[in-house]
Amino acid sequence: MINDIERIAGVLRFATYFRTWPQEDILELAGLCDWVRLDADTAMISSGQPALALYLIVNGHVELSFEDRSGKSGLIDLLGNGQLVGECALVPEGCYAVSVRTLEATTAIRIDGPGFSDFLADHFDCALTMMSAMTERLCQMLRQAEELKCRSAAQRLGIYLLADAVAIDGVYETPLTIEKSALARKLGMTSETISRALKKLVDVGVTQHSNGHIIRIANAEILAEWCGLAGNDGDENAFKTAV
Amino acid sequence: MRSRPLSETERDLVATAPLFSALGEERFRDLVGKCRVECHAVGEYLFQAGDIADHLYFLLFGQLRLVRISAQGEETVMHFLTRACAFAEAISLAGRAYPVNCEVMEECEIVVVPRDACVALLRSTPRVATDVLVSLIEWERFLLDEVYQLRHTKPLQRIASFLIDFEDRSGEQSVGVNAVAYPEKRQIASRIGVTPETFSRSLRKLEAAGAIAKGPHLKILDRHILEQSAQMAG
Repeated sequence: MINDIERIAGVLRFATYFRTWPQEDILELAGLCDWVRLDADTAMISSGQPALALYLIVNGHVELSFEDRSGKSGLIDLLGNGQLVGECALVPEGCYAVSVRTLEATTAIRIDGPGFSDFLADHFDCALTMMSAMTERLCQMLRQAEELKCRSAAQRLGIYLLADAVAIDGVYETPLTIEKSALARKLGMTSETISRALKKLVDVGVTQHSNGHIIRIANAEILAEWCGLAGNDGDENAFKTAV
Repeated sequence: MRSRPLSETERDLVATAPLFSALGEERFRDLVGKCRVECHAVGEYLFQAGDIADHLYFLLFGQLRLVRISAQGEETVMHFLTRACAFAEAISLAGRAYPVNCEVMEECEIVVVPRDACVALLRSTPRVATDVLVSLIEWERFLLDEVYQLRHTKPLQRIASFLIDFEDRSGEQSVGVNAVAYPEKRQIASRIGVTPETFSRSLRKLEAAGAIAKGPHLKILDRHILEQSAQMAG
């Protein structure tokens, strides 16, 4: 019979952060973990609180918000399965830099921060892969900041739609799997801006169908060029990271 | 570009970086023996986006800017480095490619640390991984703040915040309270993600409010007003 540690190890080995680790290291890390199940609209971590654990999201969606120096808070991103939050727990006496709240009932793996920090101190190669994965995330944030600086709301929405588009009978369709209000928050816009951006995109062949749940793109190349992605042909990550 | 070995004073300054202080005296001395100080002129590139990060750096003095160039050749300033600090240590140790170009804005001297020598020493240094992770987490905070500002604040607030932060960061090096040498206006506009037109409009508003003097060189006249502008409801 599979015990809990083996079950956790089975999930960890598919996470970006740990998938290159040797099996024995994953099992050792699994020994520092617990399952947590949180209801919708529940705080997973809170900004400014002592950082005691990291969380790997196994099933569900959470929103990540950041508090500025004056105490105002704003949404930064929506995260889902396979994402790791709370790396501040790797630093002795660190505090969380962000707040993370569940949007729906969410299952996560809780990794003990001090234990994980000790583990990385003893396993330098594992620490290097963690640094690499964290650096990749920072690069994505850097690209996100660049996109926010350089592109209009309609261009950013266009890129988001291209990223998830599926070819069907010569056109591309993107199913909208999240509410428009959630999409607006993910892209750093208001719902009104999303509506205005969708109207603007009509001029480049983007139309809404099935009560707005399906977005049809008449010509993906024209839309990509309009969004300023010419030169990124074939680079799907350029679309993904652009949002 | 000229290069030379580190002086004793420079060695002491570099030793203050958390990553290097964690090495301990003997290992640090070994590492310094493999490092050089490079002197770069304005306009030179230290590295370009996509280059494999085979060095980490310590800025002794001078100014650098980190820039991303889009596929269409548009330039976006992501950050200014203006005071003595280590940089590119995490991306280098992670063995990845630099995500930005690093261009010299003001003549500078930089300690260049070979990645391989550093990794070899770190392998034999207990608990040093934590120090690298600390630097990653500091960058994460910087980028979180950056994305937050871009998503949730208005251009005027971002300009006010930038002027305050830049003055704070340059404070130790400037001669007097108002002697901060800000980068060119178009570079600041790029750094905070506003068009040159919006930037000029916002500067006029701040000048009318008595917060700054525009002139050929930006100057803070009333920091309190500027702070209020940075804090205003978004």
